[in-house]
Amino acid sequence: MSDGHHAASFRDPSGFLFHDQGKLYRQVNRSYAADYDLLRDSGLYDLLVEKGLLIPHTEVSLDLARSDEAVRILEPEPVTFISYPYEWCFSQLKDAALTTLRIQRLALKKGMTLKDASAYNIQFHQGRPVLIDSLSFTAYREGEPWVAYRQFCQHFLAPLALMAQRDIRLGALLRTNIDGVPLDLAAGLLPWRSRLSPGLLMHIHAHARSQKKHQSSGATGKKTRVGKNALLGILDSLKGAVTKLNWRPGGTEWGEYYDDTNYSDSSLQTKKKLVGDMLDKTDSRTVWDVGANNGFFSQVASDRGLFTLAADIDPTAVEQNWRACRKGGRPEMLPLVMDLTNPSPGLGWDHQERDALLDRGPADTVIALALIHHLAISNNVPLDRLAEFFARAGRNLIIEFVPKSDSQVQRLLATREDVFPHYDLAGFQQAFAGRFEILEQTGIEGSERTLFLMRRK
Amino acid sequence: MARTTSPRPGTTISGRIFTKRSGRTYCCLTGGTINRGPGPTGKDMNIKICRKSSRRGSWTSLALVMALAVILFPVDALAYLDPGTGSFLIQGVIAAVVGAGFAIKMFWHRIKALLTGKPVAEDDDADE
Repeated sequence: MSDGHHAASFRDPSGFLFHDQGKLYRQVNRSYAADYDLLRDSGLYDLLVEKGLLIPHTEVSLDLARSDEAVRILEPEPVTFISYPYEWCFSQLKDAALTTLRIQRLALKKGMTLKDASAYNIQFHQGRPVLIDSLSFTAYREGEPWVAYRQFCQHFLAPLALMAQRDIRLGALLRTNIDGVPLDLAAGLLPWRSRLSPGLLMHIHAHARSQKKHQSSGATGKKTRVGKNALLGILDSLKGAVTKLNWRPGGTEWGEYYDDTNYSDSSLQTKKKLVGDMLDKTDSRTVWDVGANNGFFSQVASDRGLFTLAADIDPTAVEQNWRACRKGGRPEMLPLVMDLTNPSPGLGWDHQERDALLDRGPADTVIALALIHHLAISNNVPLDRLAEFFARAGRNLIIEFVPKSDSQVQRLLATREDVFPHYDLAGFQQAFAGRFEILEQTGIEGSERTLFLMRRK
Repeated sequence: MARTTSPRPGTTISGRIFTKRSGRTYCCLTGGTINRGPGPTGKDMNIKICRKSSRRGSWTSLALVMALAVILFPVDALAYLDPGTGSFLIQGVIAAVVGAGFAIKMFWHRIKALLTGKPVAEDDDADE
């Protein structure tokens, strides 16, 4: 965009984000000046920042202003990696929802209200959900309903309910619906028993019916009055509805899941040390562990204080990882649900509102363990194309080659014809040598697998 | 001779709120009529008061009954988002449904605070 204007920052006339010499700034427009002053003078900004709920910013020189409309220029604390709701596991979306409601309650207590409740305004920063849009607040006027109520239900409650009560994979609906899951769609997809939950009955089913009834009635709804206590009651009801939604994979308890692994404890620890030794030979600050499972090996990077994206296709594994991160305090780790055979594309207006995965890189180092056979054999991606992908994703690569003789590959080939004559160690080395310099390779004890450290050419 | 007519949807008469469904106007409480005095033609206007509000399910009836607690007056909503008419209106209904329960909950918190000597937390999610 011209003047470094951020492609996703155009909906709200209160201001916009822009880049200048590699830094991100936010312009506050004159139309938002009174609300910005209220945010500061009411003490709401300090309160939210103190509680870790709002990204802190500093006011910088107006010389950076991009238009005459500017009254302030803010420099927000940088967020290492921008993730999107369709990449979050169930509990990440739930935590983001509860954070939004908590912020709204605190705002009301300070005489302000959230004028939007977009899930995209929440980011995981240092291991916690945090609001990144400091222009989301406006003065609260007694009697006013919550303008962002519809958006909250579409961005948070509806997908959470669908994931918990119908199918966890329905979280992907957020990818096809940029402004959240339409409530009539959610109401139609939810099981009948969802009506037994008062929260879902009111905020999704009745809400969807009300939308349908009034969509062409000509009414504006502007005469609706909701007192402050009643509004707090609605927020309390939303919080209850969100809190009660839980997801258990296959009905199992979390402690039982993933106890069954294919590795002995000692070989896992050996492999962990090998990965760590290789990582230490790179100069990394950001690491993407792709095919990270529940983040066991991602900890090699996060324990070193490096920002670690732990992406996996399995929502169960990501859920387990996020719960462990939240419980154990791993602020450097960001678990995400990601299908590498179909990674997040550029979405929204002009394909630029939400960035594709690779547009959010490259990482300093990409780790790909026990992954290549899934991409090369299950998804038929030729090895040279895999090398191309990894070269775009990161500057360094720690990758495990899994040969055909490995039991996991044998399992993949058991039900299909082997049409992969070049899938062997020599073919792998040759394909990757086109894009990478192979710095180190070592066999993994107790297996026929080989671990490589490579640097992009 | 008195003419029987229906009030406009949203009209409040004697504390009752009227709504319109399927082209018919309903009130949520009692049966009978209310004499509204002379109409535009000079004849007395009677307002029909219907017992049943809906044939589409009891939850709607319940919500409309609770909507009696909502006082209607104009409020401007300046925002860049379209809040959605249906989403605005349903908040009035839900507020009525959950408002009383929330008020009791807050009252109980205050009683508990008085008994325990601990102030009511400003941020009720602080321990989450």
